[in-house]
Amino acid sequence: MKTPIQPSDAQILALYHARDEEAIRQTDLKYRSYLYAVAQHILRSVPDTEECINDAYLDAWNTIPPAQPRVLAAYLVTLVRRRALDAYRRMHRQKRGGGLAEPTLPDGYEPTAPGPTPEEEAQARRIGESINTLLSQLTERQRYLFVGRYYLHVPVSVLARAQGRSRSAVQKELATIKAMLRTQLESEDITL
Amino acid sequence: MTNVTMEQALLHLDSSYLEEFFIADAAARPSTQKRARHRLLRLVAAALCSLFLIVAGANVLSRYDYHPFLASCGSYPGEIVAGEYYYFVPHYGVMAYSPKRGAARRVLHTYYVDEFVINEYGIYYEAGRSVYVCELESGQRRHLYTAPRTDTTHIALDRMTSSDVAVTCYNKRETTLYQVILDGRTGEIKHQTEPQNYAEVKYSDSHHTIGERSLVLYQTEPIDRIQLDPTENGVSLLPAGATVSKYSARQIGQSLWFTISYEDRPSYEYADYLVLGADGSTRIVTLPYKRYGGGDDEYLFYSTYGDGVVCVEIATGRSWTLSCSSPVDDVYDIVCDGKLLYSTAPWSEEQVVWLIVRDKDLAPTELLLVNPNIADH
Repeated sequence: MKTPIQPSDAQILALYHARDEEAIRQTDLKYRSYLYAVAQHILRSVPDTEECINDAYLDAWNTIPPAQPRVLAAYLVTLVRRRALDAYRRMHRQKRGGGLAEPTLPDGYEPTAPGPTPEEEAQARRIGESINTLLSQLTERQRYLFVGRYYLHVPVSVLARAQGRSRSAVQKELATIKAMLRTQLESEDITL
Repeated sequence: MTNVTMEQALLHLDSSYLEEFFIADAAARPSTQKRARHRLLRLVAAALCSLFLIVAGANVLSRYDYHPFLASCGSYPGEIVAGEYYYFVPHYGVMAYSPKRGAARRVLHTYYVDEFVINEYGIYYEAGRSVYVCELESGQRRHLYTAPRTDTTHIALDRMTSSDVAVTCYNKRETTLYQVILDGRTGEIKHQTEPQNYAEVKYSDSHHTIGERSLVLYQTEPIDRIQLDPTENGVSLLPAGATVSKYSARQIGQSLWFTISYEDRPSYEYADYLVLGADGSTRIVTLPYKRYGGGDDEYLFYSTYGDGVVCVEIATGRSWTLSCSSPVDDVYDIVCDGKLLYSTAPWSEEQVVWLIVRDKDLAPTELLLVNPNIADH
């Protein structure tokens, strides 16, 4: 039971390279809240979220080194999202055949076929590329809002404070970005 | 219409945009960098002076926790000890908030602190291979212990009891460690373990006390480094097939809590908790499976990460969301003792204090904002 100062990413990565298990603890202390928010938004279940985060820590331990993340937070979030989506798909498969307790689905999600089909994978990749194209056309400030809100699920008020702007200004800009994304996807015959 | 969701599509987000976010996020917080000064001297003297200034400057910067690489100045949850809340403020030091005085004060300058452990006697911090204590009552700092260079490359601290401190001495060359249990007041070595592999369970993870009770957590068969069998006086406290996670140990009120796992029954929405009272009581309670931020002997509290704080009645498992006098967007991590609740968020530098308001039956009903930021100095 200790209260540490948050170490730098360089210090945490050094622990990974030294194969010091303190790396996992420091990672958890520094980034758990971020990662929890990302996983819970997908899974909406505390035990599944906890398991997902622990699996992501194991992934980090097993991949660093040789992986040398430039920004540790970004690397961890990517690992957690992958694990969370895998867990979500497993929950669907189990729900369909295993009789387990029905998982709580995030708002706007509909139960679909368990796991993505190859066509859906290709479609997801295509939409992802479209999003990347849109992001390349946005300003840095707009990209910050898009990634913060839709990838990391950071509250609007927090994003507004980080940019020194009002909440309504940020909401308006997010609405503009969403409209741009919708237009781009529609031009490619895609509707989310 | 496609069956693909936004979440699936975002798996293909270019990682450079994610990196850009975190870099911009860190830059949005106040930070300064000092630049090394260069003097015009003879070539050798100039090189030596520059080297000295760079090394000394880096040491001073790190002591004031100005890190050159993307330092995060977000607030971090502190700890409640003897009714006072101790927390770290970046670039300033360890502060203590006294509910009685309604004010905060600095108790330890950031220069001295790399990591710290706190109990009712003092704040323990490390510098290199040495452990120091800052007495809470007098504010005096003194050396307690230094690990030998021959078998220690770095150390870490853990609180063992209300007065003892565990020093983990790591040898990263051999990937071994041993632990030294110190009397937190005198620095006397009360116990020292034999060197062990990093992977084995540490003494501080397997030995716990609450009141006059002592517990030992043993590894089970097949060997698991995390799920252990809790025993008292050589007798297991759980039925066969049940274990506790070594990471789940925490003191809430006058009891020591562990989360129980069963080999044939994974936890979902509810979990069983082993609760060991300082009064000698032992019970298993079934409660919502949450990451609790503390409480007292009757109620526990957990954060819903921006959607409010939920109170759980231990005796019945009943839970409800507390109403709140102010927005709770930034209530992410919480620490509480049933009287006051302290909240932080990883993207905010604030440490917020809330009063837990109760009804006539003493059930918590509301959070009342007491101080929006005790990290202000």
